Amino acid sequence: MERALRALSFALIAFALWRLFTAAGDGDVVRVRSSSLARDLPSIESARTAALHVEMDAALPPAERDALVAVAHAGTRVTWSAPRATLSRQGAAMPPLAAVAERAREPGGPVRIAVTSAADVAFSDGLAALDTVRATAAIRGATVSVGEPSGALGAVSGAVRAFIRVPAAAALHPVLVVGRAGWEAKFAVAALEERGWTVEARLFVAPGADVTQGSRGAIDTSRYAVIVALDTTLGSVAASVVRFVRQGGGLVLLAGAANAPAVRAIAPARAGARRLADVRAFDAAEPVNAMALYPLEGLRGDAVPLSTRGALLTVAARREGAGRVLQAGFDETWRWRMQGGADAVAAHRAWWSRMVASVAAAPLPPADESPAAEGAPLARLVDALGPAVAIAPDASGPHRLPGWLLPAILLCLLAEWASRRWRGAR
Amino acid sequence: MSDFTFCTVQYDSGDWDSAPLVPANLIDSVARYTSISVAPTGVIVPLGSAELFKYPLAYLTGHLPVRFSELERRTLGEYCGRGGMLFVDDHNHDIDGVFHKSAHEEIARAVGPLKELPNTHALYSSFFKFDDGPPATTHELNGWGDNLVHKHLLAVMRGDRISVLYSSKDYSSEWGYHPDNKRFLSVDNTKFGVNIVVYALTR
Repeated sequence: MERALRALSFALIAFALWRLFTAAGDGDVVRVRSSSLARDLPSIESARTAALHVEMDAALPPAERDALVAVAHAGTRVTWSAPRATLSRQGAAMPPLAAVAERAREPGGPVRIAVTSAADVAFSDGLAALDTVRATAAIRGATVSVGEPSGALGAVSGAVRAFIRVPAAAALHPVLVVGRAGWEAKFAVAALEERGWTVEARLFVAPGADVTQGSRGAIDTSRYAVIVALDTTLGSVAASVVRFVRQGGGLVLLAGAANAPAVRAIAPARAGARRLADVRAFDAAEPVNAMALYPLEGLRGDAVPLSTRGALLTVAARREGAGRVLQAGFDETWRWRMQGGADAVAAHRAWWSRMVASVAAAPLPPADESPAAEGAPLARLVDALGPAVAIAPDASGPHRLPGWLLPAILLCLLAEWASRRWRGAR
Repeated sequence: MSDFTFCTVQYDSGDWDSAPLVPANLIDSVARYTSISVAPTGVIVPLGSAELFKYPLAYLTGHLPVRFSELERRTLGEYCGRGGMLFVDDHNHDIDGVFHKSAHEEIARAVGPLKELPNTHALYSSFFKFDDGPPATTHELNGWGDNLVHKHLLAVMRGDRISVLYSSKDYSSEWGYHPDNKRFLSVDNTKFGVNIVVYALTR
């Protein structure tokens, strides 16, 4: 019995020594957990590890993921797996978070983040928390708007943290407003300027007498981002407007402007006969529905209807060459600002700015080369290391002994010693 | 397309209706010199009324002391805040007169303090050119009133736009005649009125 216990102890010690010296040998798989990968990486990199398996019990930071890619390129077969619960759709610890940001093409415009995830998502920047999206909305895909972020914009969902690349703000050229001198011109220019746009204007007052705000330069996309036509009086702009749009410029056609001969060929629709709104009080109806309207008629096949008032089409858009044309049949929008409710001035400004921004020609912003920017960490992990593999998780790490081995050795030695003491031997 | 409608402001105190011929004369000039679609007759709107917001340019004049009611004060502040423009002309052409003093106080309380408008302002070139600033009136040149030729108009600005334009030159007397009588003038003295309308419609 004592001999057997002694022999077993020696055998176990020999096994432990063999594991210690041969665990990193060819053909063995080293298993680590992602939560302790940062600590284990130095020994992994220095050992001759044939295969490495990472169990994702926590999100892997980009630097550690890239280190694993380097290890793989050095000849180690790297695989990963995640507990079933962490990849499930509900209550996921490591949900498939994906978030991408875009910037509205208007001065000081918000940053819009499209996000999808299987768990709640919280957004923050370098200063504070910004917004949250519940899982029920995030599963279907949601969009949130935030102001200019300070520092890195991040999203956290479960154990996953994404660093979202925010495009740099585009330098927008001025807006050119053309039409007859009138309240619509005055308040359209004012609304856009108050929202931060640089506005130039050519307003017809009398034959040979335009009121000009800004320069009278050539009409092209190097000078203007958008032309806003308030009515059919396009003046000197008429000869250049189609070329301007085809080069990539934006065109907003308000009220009956689409019937101007110069833009009829590129307008989304004809402007019908002017109609007054059924409810003309701005506080008793949706403001845009209290305005007079030139309903859009004869919509072109390639135009997209965007808004209606009952059976009447009010807004539509289409592409023309590299540019975009937006037609809105509303007339006398200035009444909204002057006669609307307490928030009418701000709402009128925002409405005009959105219309112009939706078609504005904007140069592509410089690409963000930040290596930390990563909107879809799980997708990047799959891209870098391949899909998860089905391997039973093992808590063992590199150069570690099975958890049962040391107690077993101690138990055998203790039993052998107790047996000897029992029979009086030393 | 909106018609331009000339709007005269009626206020509770004073004699708001002291220049009844000015609207017709300026309407005639706007129609005569420009292609702006102008309503053939003006309107009279109480200063404390929501109707005022239908007319983003309004004209106010008088000889007597001006005291706005709280509602008038609040309405005027809101009107200018939304982008409306008020043209005030002192019918006394007298900077020591009661209209001048009381109107200054009321405008300051409702909108803000009046300051000199530079004679290079866009108002003086919005349609006709007035290189020397506001044109003098015959009342100033004849030494009536305070015996001064006022070199500047005054204004309350909202950003770079005029919210309140104030004149001590008595254009209300200068323009207060029937439009048919323009044919007797060698130079139409209402041209500056056209500039005020065109400025209001474009800035």
